[in-house]
Amino acid sequence: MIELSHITKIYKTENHLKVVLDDVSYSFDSSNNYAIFGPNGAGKSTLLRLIAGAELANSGRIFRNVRVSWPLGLAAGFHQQMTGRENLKFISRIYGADVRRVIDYVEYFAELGHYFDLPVRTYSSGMQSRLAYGLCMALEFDCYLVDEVTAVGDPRFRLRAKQAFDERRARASMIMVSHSVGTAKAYCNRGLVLYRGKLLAFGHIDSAIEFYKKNF
Amino acid sequence: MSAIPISEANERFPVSPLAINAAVIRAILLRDIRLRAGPYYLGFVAVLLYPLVHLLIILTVKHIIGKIAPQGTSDVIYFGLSVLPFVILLHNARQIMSSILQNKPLLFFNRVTVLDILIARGILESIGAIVVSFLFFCLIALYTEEFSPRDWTGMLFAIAATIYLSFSFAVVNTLISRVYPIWQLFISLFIVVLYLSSGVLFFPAAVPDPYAQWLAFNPLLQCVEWLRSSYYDDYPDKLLNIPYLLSFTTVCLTLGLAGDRLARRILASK
Repeated sequence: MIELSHITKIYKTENHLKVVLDDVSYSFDSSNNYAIFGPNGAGKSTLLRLIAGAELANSGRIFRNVRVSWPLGLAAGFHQQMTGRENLKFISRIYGADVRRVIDYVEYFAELGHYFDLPVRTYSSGMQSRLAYGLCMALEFDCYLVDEVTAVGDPRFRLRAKQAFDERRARASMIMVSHSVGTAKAYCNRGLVLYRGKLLAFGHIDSAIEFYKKNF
Repeated sequence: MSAIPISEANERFPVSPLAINAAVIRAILLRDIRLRAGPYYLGFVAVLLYPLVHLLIILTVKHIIGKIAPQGTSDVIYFGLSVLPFVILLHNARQIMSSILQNKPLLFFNRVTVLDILIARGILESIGAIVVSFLFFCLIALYTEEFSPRDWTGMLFAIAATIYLSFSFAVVNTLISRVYPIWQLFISLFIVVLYLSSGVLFFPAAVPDPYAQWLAFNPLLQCVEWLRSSYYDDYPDKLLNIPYLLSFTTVCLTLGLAGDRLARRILASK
């Protein structure tokens, strides 16, 4: 379970404050898959980063008693001077995973070729995302965070990524941020809408989609 | 709500939070060695020895100038024991404080905390300080042939206290400079003030009251006095106050650790 308790997130921009999340409380159950809808700039990706622990709220607490992934495909944690292999070694150690198994898996999955042993700074953004996606699949989390905006790669890689993700989904839950109603409906059974700093819970995804279509 | 133990998919038994912390610190430590060593691990030896080179340069300059030691017969031993705590404090504190900036992307992973990064770098720098101290004592023993400490244990405790001070000093200053980045400028100035008033340039026992009492508040002077009084038989250690040094250091560390969460909140608001 992931529990948001009175979460407030505010960004300071020039001359004004942008309240992204305003005293939001909600419990994400491990037995359901959640889709979060909302207009551009509503704070969906911010909410995902807060759940991942990559960012801290201004107030409130987030309780996690499951292993939560970072937003899928997001390559923010790699050290640019280190090779892909070295980055994997380091992150595998952090998560207490078998380093050899993770490297073998990602080397096969991400198909980076000789780039795998070159510094990450030489990678294209797509290659970095493939490395991050492969690592996310190799580490096996209880809850995957999916930001649809970060979905990358050619159609072939997307197919491989989808197959790997479907395998993981059988054992894990997910929280997805999406503009695409079709994709969200294919993966999720619960729907939420982020609107003006509030997280509106609708229970079944169809009700959330109906509200989202009507208002945005 | 109490969190259940976290377990890995490929591990049969739950992993304790302490084991997770240990794994994270070990991972950061190895990564730090790799990054600072460059392409070859031998490069890390050079990084470790940098403070020793700094120390030897200061001693050489003092020797050439012909500064006379106010205690004992060897200027190399007297000034060596005086400058060693400063070099440990300066290099350890600088490296530990810069570790957050250098490793900021690691905070993207929810298992890594600021404290993990500081502890990993602190362990690395402590090992460096121990190696540098050992090599320094070997060098002056070879050079002067009159190196005979009165109390080896006291000297080791004095060096351990200096390492502890450098870590605590770095932790509390990291906290302040995360919230107020301009503080970094003051730290450099502050370390210079600590050095100038640490008893390297003057003989502390010769300073009259009440100035001596004010100087005794300098924790670096306490480290220097502890090291000197452990080495010399008849060193006038009237300013030495070990409980003060340890209390000061512990308070710094406690403030630094307790304020970490607060600093993150303040940073999140910026």
